[in-house]
Amino acid sequence: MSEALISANHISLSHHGKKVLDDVSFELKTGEFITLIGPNGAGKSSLIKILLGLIIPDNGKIKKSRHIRLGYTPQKFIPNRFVPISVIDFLKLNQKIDAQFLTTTATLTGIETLLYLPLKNLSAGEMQRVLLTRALLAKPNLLILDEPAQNLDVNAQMHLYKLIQDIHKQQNCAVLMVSHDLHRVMKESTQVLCLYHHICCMGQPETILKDAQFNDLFADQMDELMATYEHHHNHDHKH
Amino acid sequence: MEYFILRAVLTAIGISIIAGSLGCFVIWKRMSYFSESISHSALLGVSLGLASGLGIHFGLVIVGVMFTVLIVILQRRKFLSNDAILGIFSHIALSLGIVVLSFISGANTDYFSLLFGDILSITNADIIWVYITLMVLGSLLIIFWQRLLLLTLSEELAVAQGLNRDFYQLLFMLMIALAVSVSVQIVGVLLITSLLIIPPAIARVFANTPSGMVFQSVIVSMIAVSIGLSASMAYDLATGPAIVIALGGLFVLSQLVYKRSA
Repeated sequence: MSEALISANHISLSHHGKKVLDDVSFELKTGEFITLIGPNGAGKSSLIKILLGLIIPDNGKIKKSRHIRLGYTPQKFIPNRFVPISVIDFLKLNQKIDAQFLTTTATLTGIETLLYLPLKNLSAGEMQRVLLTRALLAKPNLLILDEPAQNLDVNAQMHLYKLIQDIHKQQNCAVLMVSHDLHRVMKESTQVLCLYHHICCMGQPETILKDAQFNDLFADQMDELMATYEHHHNHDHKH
Repeated sequence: MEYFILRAVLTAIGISIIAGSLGCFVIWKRMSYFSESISHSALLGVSLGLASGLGIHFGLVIVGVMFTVLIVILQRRKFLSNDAILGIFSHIALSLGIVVLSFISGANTDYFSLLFGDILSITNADIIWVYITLMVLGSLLIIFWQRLLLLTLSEELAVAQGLNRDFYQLLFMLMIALAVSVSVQIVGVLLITSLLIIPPAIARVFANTPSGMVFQSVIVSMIAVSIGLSASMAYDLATGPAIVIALGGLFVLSQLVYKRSA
């Protein structure tokens, strides 16, 4: 099972003369879990949007496997507020889903009580869970999640991360997740991809922690993070 | 019933279904200015249709499609904002239409009925044209309903699911152009947009689902068009304004209801 589900080859993107992405290449294979981290404005969401075909890069190519079944949750989702539509109709829109599967999935994500509400009435946290539900209903073998835990309280975050882990493991579903939460990332991802316009480093969480560029980028968060890991670095804080 | 009344009623029913349903998407996608621009190009369509001998329907469709494509090309350049592009087209189209029309048919052209609609001008061929258009647009809407709706709700999710945003956008714009082309005779060039946006705006107050809104919008349109047509015939009023005033009355009522229930 070594076929790449999706791969980025030498992706570059500029925005108003500024390099957003510079020669970014990586691939995501069946069953892998990659967390994309990087400071604000590092190009994470742009990279995700390029992978999905929402933005055309200046250079480089995206290759998608023919067997890809993709589920995606955007970072910011503001549905068109002029369309009167209920949550359940939104979930079913443009995908065939049997009622039983919908109920199970909605229970899993904890939105079973929201199903008949108008979509536009949801809070940001509820919307996040509805989006994940829609992504899961596609029976994906690749989930692309752009900061899925934002707007959730701590408990809901824990629940969400556990849910993503369960789906990843039980259904052998590959995950590409953008996250700011270094604690979670270090504990759970199989691969970490650290982006700052270019790929700074990529690898297992333990390897990444020892990487000098990574330490520079996350200098302000490192002390706290290191306290929970038993590594002892003498790293330079250049920022 | 006299034949011209029957023709008017049949046309009105067909156009209400077309405009009432497509109009929902016009409201959701905030494209009323686009439909306004295209309807202003209708006058040019009529005049070129008459001049070339192809007839007004072909003239309307050809000019509508041409203007749609030109607008899309300009929008892709991203040099001007959408509303500027549409504003430019809207008035150039209207002026060209009037000038070309006066060249072609001299002083005896009935501008008034072209600008504001005239049910007496409807022929049997027009009715057939309306129902062919209804079948084409109806089938497209049914086939692409889910995809158009998803794109309307969120382009991001739709594109991530593999839908071609540009294709469906162009398709929808062409559908509007076609809808405009059949509405000219009954409401006139200047008032077509109201037939597209007022019925859905009224239905929006009561609807809980997208399909419900389409259904209610069609019904509202039929009611308003019937009232307008009757008034137009009874008091010899211009058809378009009579229909729009009926729509306006219903809109005011719906807003009063909305205020109470909110």
